[in-house]
Amino acid sequence: MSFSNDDTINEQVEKSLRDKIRKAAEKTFSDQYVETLKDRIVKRTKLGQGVDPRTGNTTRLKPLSTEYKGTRRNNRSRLSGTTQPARSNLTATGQLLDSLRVIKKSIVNGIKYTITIDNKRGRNLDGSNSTVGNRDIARFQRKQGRNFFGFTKPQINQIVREVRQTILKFLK
Amino acid sequence: MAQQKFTVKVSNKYDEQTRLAIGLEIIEHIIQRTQDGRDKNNKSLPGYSESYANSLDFKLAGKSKGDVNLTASGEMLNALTILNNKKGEITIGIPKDDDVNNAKAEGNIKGTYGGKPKRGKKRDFMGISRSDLKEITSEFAINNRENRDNTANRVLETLLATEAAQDIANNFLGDGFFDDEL
Repeated sequence: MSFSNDDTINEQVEKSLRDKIRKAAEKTFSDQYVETLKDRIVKRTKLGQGVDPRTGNTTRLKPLSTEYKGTRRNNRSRLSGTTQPARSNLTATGQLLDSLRVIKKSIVNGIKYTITIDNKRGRNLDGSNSTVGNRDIARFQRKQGRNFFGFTKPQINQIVREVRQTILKFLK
Repeated sequence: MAQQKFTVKVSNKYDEQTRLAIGLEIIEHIIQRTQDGRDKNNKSLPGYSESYANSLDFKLAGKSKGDVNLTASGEMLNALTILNNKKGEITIGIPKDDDVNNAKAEGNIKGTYGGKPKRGKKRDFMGISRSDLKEITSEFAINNRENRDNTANRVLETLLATEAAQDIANNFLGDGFFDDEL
C-alpha cells in the first residue's frame, strides 16, 4: 500500500509501525473470540438469516413448506423454545445449531481454528431415533436454500472492524 | 429495493487515503451512535412497539425494551461500507446487491418496516450530523505542517491496521475455518 504523503513519514517509521501492528493483530484471535464468532452464526441463524454461498450476502432462510409447518405444529411440545412452527430458522429440536464446535489446532506457523458440526444427533422432532447426523441435515438444508454455515459479508466487516479497533488501541 | 446510502462533502485537499480513513471513522461513529440509541441528528431513536418487544425475535436477539439500538443480528449496521471515495466527497451505505440489508435499512429510515409508514417510527441512522462530521474531520487537520504530519501518521495507522485486520481475518477465516467436508 502506498501513501501519497510518504515524504512526511520515513520508511523506517513505517516498517516499525507495520511490525507493531502485526504483533497486535496476531493477539486478537483468541479462543474466547472465536467462540463468540461461532455464537454469532447461531444467533444470526435463529433470527432467520443465512449466508449466500456464492456472494456472501445475508439471506433470509427459505420459508418452510406447508406440510412441514404442519409437522411442527403437531409436535409443538418437542419444538425448541427458540422457534415457532412457521419460523424458518433451522431450529426444530435445536440440535443442529447446538452441534457447532470450535476446534483449535497447533500448526507450523501458530494456531488454526476450525468451526465444525458435530454429527452426533439425538431424537427427531417426532420422537423417533434419527437415522442421519447433523452434517447430513446441514448439507440437505444447504441444497434446500438454507445455508447457514459461514460468515456473511457484514459479519466479516464486523470482524475486520473489531480487529482494527484492537490494533489501534494497542498502538495508543 | 433502493440502495441506502449517503454522501458527505469533505475538503478537496484530502487525498484518497485520508478520505478512506475518514470514511472508516464515519462508519465507526454511525455504528456506535446508533447502538447508543441516537439517529443521524443525534435524536433518540423512537421506542420499540409492544408487539415487537413481545416477539420471539426480540428475545432471541437478547434485546431490552429501553435499549433501542437497531441491532438484532448485527447484519444491517455491519453492512455499512465505503461505496465511493472521490475528490471532495465520500459515499457510505449498503452495497447495491445486498437486498436483505437494504430492505431492513429502508424500513428503519422511512419507518415502513415492510408496510406503510408508521407515524413517529422513523429511525434514520443513515447519515451524520454536520457537527459530528466536523469533529471527525478536525482529527484530520491539514492546515499547517504539524497537523499534516499528525494526519499522515493517523491515516497510516488506520490503513495499516485495516490491512492487517483484513489479512488476519483472511488467514484465520480462510480455507479450513469452516469444516468444508460438508
